[in-house]
Amino acid sequence: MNTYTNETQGVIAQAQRLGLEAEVYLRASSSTSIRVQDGAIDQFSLSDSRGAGIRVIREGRVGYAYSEDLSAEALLRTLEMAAKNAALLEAAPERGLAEFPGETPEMPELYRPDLKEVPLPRKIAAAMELERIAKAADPRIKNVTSTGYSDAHGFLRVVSTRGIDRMYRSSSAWVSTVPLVTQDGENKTYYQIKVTRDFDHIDPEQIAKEAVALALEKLGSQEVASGIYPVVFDPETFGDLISVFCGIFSSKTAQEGKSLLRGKVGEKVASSVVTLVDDPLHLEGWGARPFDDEGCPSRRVSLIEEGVFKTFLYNSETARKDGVESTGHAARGGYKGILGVAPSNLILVPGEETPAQLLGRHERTLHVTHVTGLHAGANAISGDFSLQAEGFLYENGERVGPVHNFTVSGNWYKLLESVEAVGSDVEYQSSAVACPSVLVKDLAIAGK
Amino acid sequence: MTANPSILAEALIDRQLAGDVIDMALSGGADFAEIFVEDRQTAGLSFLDSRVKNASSGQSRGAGVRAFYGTQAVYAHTNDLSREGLLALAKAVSQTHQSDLRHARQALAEAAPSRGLSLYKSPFGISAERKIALFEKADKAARAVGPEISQVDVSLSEQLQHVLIANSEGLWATDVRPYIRFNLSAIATGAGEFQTASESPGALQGFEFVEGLDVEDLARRVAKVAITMLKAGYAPSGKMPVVIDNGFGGVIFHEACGHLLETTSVATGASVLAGKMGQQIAHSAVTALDDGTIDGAWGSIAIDDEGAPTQKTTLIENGILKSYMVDKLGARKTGFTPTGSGRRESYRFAPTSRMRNTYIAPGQYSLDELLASVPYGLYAKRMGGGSVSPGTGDFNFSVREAYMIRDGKIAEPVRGATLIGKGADVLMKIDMVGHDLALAEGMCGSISGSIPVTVGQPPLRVSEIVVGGR
Repeated sequence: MNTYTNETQGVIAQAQRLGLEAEVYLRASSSTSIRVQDGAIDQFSLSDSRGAGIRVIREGRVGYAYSEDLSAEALLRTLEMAAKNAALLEAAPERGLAEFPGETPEMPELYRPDLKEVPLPRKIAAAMELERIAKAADPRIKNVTSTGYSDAHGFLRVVSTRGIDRMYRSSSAWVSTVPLVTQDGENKTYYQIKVTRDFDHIDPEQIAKEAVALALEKLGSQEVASGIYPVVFDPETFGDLISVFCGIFSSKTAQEGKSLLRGKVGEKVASSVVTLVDDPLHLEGWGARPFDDEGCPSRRVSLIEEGVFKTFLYNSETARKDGVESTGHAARGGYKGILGVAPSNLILVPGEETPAQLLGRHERTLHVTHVTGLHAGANAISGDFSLQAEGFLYENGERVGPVHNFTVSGNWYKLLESVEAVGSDVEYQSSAVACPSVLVKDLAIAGK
Repeated sequence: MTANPSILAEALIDRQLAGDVIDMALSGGADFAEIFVEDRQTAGLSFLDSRVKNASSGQSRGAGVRAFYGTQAVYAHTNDLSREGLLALAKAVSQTHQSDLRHARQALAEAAPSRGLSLYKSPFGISAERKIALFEKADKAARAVGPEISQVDVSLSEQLQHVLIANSEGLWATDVRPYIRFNLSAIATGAGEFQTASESPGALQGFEFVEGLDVEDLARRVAKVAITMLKAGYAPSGKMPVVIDNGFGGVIFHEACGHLLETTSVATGASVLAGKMGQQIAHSAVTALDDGTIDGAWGSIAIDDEGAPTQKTTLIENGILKSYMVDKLGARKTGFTPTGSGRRESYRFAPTSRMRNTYIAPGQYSLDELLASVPYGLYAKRMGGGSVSPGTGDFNFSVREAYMIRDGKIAEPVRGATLIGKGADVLMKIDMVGHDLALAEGMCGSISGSIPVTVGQPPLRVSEIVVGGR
């Protein structure tokens, strides 16, 4: 795969001639995706894509432009476009590129070249087997959809006029399936996705059977009475909530007046059982990376320690504004994006109790195993959420049965304060959040 | 238009190359092949803290090649538009199947007359100063509504998309699609809390669309909603009648029914509305359309991303299911005729059946009459987004601005409400439809990516739905 050394160096040389500070953020990836339906390939996709985003700083003004044409001429035009865009802004002292001296960690595990060598028929067979096993797993299976295998490999390269030239490669593979089960006119689905870096870790039988079992156990769902309940979120669901609301830890959000944590460093903002860290070096997480989107070396950062807010996440620009060092959390969200801040692998540090113990703490507990509509039902700025959910009702630690068609509502900031206990069952789901089960004291449930 | 360098004078690739690529894609025995080439220029300008915050622009360019083997589809895409790059892409597509069958290709037609851009003021042609002046006006107007307004975000995004679609049936079609969207959001702060409100009008038009907006009025409305919600209590929970106002209220139909009528979910039998053609699936008060022909509307298209002319499709008439939304592959799988509904975000996605401008047709009631019919319930003035699970029909969507209805009149504002239920149930419960139709713009995400659509409806009453409050 071409890594565009000459082209990026051409941009840097031209920027230097023009007296500009400039940075090229270049991503390339290729992927294979197979979707099967009823024992045949339904959709087969191959992709090969690349693009570069150029950030220019001229007299304290920043401008951005991107191109998917990575020829030397196109990149020089893009540099020019970014410089023109910069002229539209007012100068601000925090704008600028940083040098980030020091070594970036070696993380060779992120890239498995052997994934590319896996013959296509084996990938197809994995998807077919997943569907076949899921379909045959139970007579109540009505349909199995969205079954597929995908993999991707690519690289990120960051080059700047401050002498940075850093690159890493990464690869991953994932499989998914969605069994639809039916009984007495009631339909239930379970969306199953498993991500891995190692093809040999894909176990279609285990993945299919787990998906079907998780769909089946929802059958016979009842509506739940409205009221205030203690709620145990399963790891994946609480991880989803953390993902949606993690913007409150961004220094950029705070500087824009959109995080209520602004001005609260050193204060207690969560229950003392809550310790939250971000660790880009943790290889099991899907956000693992040796450096951030500005080339700043990765390091582990504590966000909340025993309920006390320790720091926001920073890139070099927001750090300069607050007079601190970057925490290495610059994020562009791709070459079309502009410089922002994002976590890598968030880890909610596990506690002592098993999920069963959490579910047995109260007379009546709602176990929430899935929420939907996060993009609409959760407001990342106000912290308010009201989410359609499903799960199980527990009484004195015993499962009464599955429940559905209710919403769980609250406010993220208040929820952090009312976490009663954190489970011992931490695992990485298919996201970049590692999270155990979490018991929250009182949440509003709207059902029948 | 000649003065504007951003309008491409030449086709994205020439006819000869397109034909060669299609031939190569057919060479593994495919019975249909297509190439989609796209050039997209974008520009964005944003304003925050009462000054320009970011300026960015760029260009995407790529192609996707698709082949059908019966109802199996193979798709590949690349940024490399060179002859070698495109032929290699087509070869990769052909190599997924090995068959001695060879399907002939029709000669590519002469270009169909494209609507072109002459109808529109050129995008990108407007000076940054004029845009910034507009931002300043809007920002001032929003902040002047009250001291609670602590932040105002304003932005303008513009796109110019050129597409070329050619296929083995002899199709040669091009289109030019200018998109513009103005976004304004405001944050109200008080007592350690934030509330937000926003509006994002957009169109398949040039800058004249923004010139036609009263941005100060829009800014004041947004700021007022944020402040109103700051002072609102939480919505109650439980089942109750809900009056959903027009415009973005149409998201209820989009989520609860529209997605279930796309052949994407109908073909696999995953949709609860599969196999219901000609049956009553909604209350007789409901007639619904998916219309790609509305001039300049955000979800309109002259041709779809498979090159088929757009249509005005009646989905439901007086409660009876009349049509699905059908793309080419969906047509092969279900036997229904394509409805010009094949859409995709970009060359990175194979097209599939998607919505355009989808709305419930006007009925007979005024908003006041609808409200007066409800002794106790919720008035959902402005909806947020939502989602649906096609297999179960479970949907949810959030209400951004809501008020209680007491004794048939609008009472106190409430916040944090979500409407949840099943599509099939709620369609039967839309029992009164108003006459004041309005559309609203949004982005819709599905397997072929995120595309511009409008949702719409007149004000309507749902006799009973679960309101999730606290």
